[in-house]
Amino acid sequence: MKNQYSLWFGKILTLLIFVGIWQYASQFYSPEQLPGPIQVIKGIQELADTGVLWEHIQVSLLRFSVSYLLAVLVTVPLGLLLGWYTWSWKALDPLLQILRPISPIAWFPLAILWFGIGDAPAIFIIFLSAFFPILLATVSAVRRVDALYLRVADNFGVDKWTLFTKVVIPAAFPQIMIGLQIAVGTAWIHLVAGEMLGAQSGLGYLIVDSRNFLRTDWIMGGMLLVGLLGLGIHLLMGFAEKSINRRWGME
Amino acid sequence: MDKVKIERVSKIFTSQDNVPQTVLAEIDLIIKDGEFLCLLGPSGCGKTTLMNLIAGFEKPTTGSVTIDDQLVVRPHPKHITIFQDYGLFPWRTVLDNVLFGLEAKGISKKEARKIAGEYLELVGLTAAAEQFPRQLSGGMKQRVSIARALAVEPDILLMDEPFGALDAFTRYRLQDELLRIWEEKKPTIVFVTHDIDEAVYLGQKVVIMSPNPGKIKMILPIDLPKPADRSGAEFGAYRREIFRAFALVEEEKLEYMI
Repeated sequence: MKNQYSLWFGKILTLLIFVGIWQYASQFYSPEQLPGPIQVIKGIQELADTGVLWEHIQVSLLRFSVSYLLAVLVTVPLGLLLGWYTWSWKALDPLLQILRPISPIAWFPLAILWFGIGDAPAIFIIFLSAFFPILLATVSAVRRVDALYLRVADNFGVDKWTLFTKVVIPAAFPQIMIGLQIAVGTAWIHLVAGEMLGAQSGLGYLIVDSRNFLRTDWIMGGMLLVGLLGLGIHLLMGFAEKSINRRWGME
Repeated sequence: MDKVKIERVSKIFTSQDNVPQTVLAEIDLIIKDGEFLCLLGPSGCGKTTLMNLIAGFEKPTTGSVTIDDQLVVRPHPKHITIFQDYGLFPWRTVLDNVLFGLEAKGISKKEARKIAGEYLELVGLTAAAEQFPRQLSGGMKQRVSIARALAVEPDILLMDEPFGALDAFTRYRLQDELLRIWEEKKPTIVFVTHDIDEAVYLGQKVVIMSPNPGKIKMILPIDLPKPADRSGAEFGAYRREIFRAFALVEEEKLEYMI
């Protein structure tokens, strides 16, 4: 228990030191260059009072959920198939290795040309950013399913479909979950990028738009909220993963 | 009645750098229906490969393996293999693991549950039905995999060093349980082991194999009541005989090296 306390003490202390340095440093700059923590909190308060802030958060969360779920629904089945049919993965591998290093942000001009201004380009970019981590994790999860499980299933004479749905997918599941968790992180990072570039709402838009007014406190407030919400989503995913693993008998 | 016939079977594996390696050379063996047969030998003697050929996981390079006069070409749910690493599905409870083979057989849910329950009782794991494999000891896990195998009523059980990872006390207990189950259900059992005592204790027949290339050195019928007295004089005599057989293997190797 004592260890627990000192762990929390360390965490809180680190945060306090960070805020302290921030506060100290802000004295040497104008509020347009570097507002202090209190000014940023006040800025957030101001945005919250007008109701704008909540709207931005809602839009961002909605956009994020839609694109992420879309990515999961498309990519997991795709990864399962590519992992199962080894030849298809081998055939696609070179193409994917070329596409993978291209930052999702680089797709932005094309996304605008194809989908116009609005939600679609942002959704497209978030989708892309989640696509590769999910795909790679799913493919490797399927390919690394313990051969012993396949042998046992084969011995009991199950058909291919049963083998796939009742052995391969559940055996691969914990690994896939790890990919999904990584993808949540990268998708959230690219949410802001997507919204900065094309959208007219959301936290990313708030950050860009505040620059136009030179409201640095709002910029930093937006950043702070992106960080905090990202942390929240990460914790939620971790919790989901744990409870699924427990159900899966994997703990 | 002859159950399994292995005729002039060789198995040659080719390694990645194209070097062929003869794992089994010219094996002839007949296994009778309901027989408890142990394949005994040091590692590298091809005993597991021979078992895999009977199971249909692998095909012989030359020769043939037949079961009930049918050529073995693939695994069959009537010939179930039990592995040293259990092969239990960690995402399924004990009960659901036992149900797996029954589901594959297309048995109705209700009937399958009844059968699975009976076999869990047979291996003394009724209380653990809702637990996950990770919550069980090694001995319990192997019991589950035995229950899962027996539930589909196979006529051949192929066991690949099934007790090899267990501590001595658990191993002895499971050996006795296996004998009891064999007496009750009378499947044909092919039991792979490198433990001389285990082979003498369990087998009606011990097939002694030697490596490089894998060959049958000797077939030793064990004429002991089951379960045998591990510390008895007859038991000791069989052990000595096997030791002698292996000592012979060593001598040959020595000559070969000179």
